[in-house]
Amino acid sequence: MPERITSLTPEQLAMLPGIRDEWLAHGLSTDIADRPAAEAGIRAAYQAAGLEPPRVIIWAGSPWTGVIAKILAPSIIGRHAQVYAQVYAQVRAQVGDQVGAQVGAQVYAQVYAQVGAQVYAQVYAQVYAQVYAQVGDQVYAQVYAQVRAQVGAQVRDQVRAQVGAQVGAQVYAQVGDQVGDQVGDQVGAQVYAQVDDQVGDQVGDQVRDQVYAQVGAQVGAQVRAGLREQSWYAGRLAGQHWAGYYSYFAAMAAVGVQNLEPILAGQLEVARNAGWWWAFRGFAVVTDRPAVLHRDPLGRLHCADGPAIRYRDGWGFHAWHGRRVPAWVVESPTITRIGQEDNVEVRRCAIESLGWDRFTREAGLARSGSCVPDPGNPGQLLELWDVPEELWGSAVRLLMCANGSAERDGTRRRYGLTVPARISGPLEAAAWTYGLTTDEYARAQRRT
Amino acid sequence: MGTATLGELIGRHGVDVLEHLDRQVEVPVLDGLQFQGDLAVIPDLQNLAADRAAQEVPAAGIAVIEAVGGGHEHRLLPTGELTMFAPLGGGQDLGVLVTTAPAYLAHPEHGYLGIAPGSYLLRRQREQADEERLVAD
Repeated sequence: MPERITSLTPEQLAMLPGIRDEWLAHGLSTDIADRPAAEAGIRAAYQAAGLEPPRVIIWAGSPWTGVIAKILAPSIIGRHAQVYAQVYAQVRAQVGDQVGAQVGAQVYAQVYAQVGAQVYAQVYAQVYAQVYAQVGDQVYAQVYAQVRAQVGAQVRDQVRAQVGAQVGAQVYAQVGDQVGDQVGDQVGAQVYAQVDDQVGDQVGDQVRDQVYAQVGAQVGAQVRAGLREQSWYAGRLAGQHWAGYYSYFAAMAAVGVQNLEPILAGQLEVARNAGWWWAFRGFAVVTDRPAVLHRDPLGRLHCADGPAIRYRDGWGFHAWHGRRVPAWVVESPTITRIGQEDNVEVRRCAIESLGWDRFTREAGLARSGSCVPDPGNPGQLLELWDVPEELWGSAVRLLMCANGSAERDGTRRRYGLTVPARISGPLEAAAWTYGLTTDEYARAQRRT
Repeated sequence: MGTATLGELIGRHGVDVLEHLDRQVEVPVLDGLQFQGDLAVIPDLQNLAADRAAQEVPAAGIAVIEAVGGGHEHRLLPTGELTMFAPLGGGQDLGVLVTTAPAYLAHPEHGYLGIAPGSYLLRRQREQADEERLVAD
């Protein structure tokens, strides 16, 4: 048994920021996947779990396509099992080598053409039962057990705080979780609702039309049933979006914890080279990384002029300071649409997206108090506006102020900050944003 | 040490700012309330500096607000003599600055802010959402 690690040397402590930054970069990477490296990682992860490596590895362009792929795959693989030997090479080539094409069109059509219309009932559970448990849960149990056995609680806390938690807060909490929510919502909104309470052919057609549009091919009953009955996350390993978790163990290995490498190396390799993946008996589904990822200064998904995250197959979504929003909020916000929007959070995002200056003008806001000079910011003014509660959803006022430094074009950027509605004047409002009294704020010497 | 221009300070500390900011402008060293965007430098009248575990700020400075995503950091820079910073651990109050020589805060968009010897509270700006939230530029 290796000696238990109860404290870290200065050299070991100095390594932690580098490991943190390396995994932040993996977690937020928008590079195209390294497919051979990721596939090698997947095979190694199966082997580490004592499983035969998957015969088929299906690449999908995004987590959404991956969900469709993992539902489709069992029936496709089952269907061509009889002639597996003959068609394996062709199918594998199709599945593995085409970038970004949707799974239905790419795989289903090919296989269908090869083996004909025979329908095989595949029980999904048979395919993934045990595999995720072994590749996923048991691996975690093993690596945690190794770390607990070899490392004292204090050091574990230290590494968690300086590496794992920081990376996780940036990557999973801000990005992976949102991607998951979007996939889940999309499954719910587009399939569940229409399938769950309906059984007739009519509805079946309707669902098929919806799914068809998403997948790019007619995919039939397996997908409908699969999406209804199978959790989208069953069997999932979030790969790059589990950077927080992986960074913790990478740091533990770096400070000398033994026996982690053989268990976890494959998974780390996938996380360094691809996006999400799902592990099943006989096959795995793995996705590319996003092509576009935009965040705000606090690390939340945000983009003011397009999708905040977009994958190479076109799937993605818009977000405003960490909140997923419909495209119109970012692309074409108007006072009319804001007024029609039911969701208060979406409404607020749309107001910010429209811009406070335009909003105060176009929504006809009433000024609260007079317009006053901003102390320490010569030539700039502070204004306070009433925001209608029915628009914002709660009682607030809006402070309009100006930056202390000029923009590239020489203008001053003006921005709006919301303040509690009890505040009656612009100076008091500006003071409140810094937790100062009005008298204290009035003595400001300089603002840049 | 007399008042320096923005260009001189960039040369001295190696922390650059956006190219459109005027390098010839003098950066005053002040002992009162100042703002650098979403960061306030508040004279520490309550003497919060007393009995805090402070660390010496190295010559390369420390990021009192770190750059995340597309954002910029606010970097605290000493000028030779002792400059100490005691973080207050999250929230609006970032920490207490105690300096025996002028210190600077550098930010790519906001340039340099000169801080006279003394003790100060560094605090972030907030706004009212459903709950209060911190402002970030």
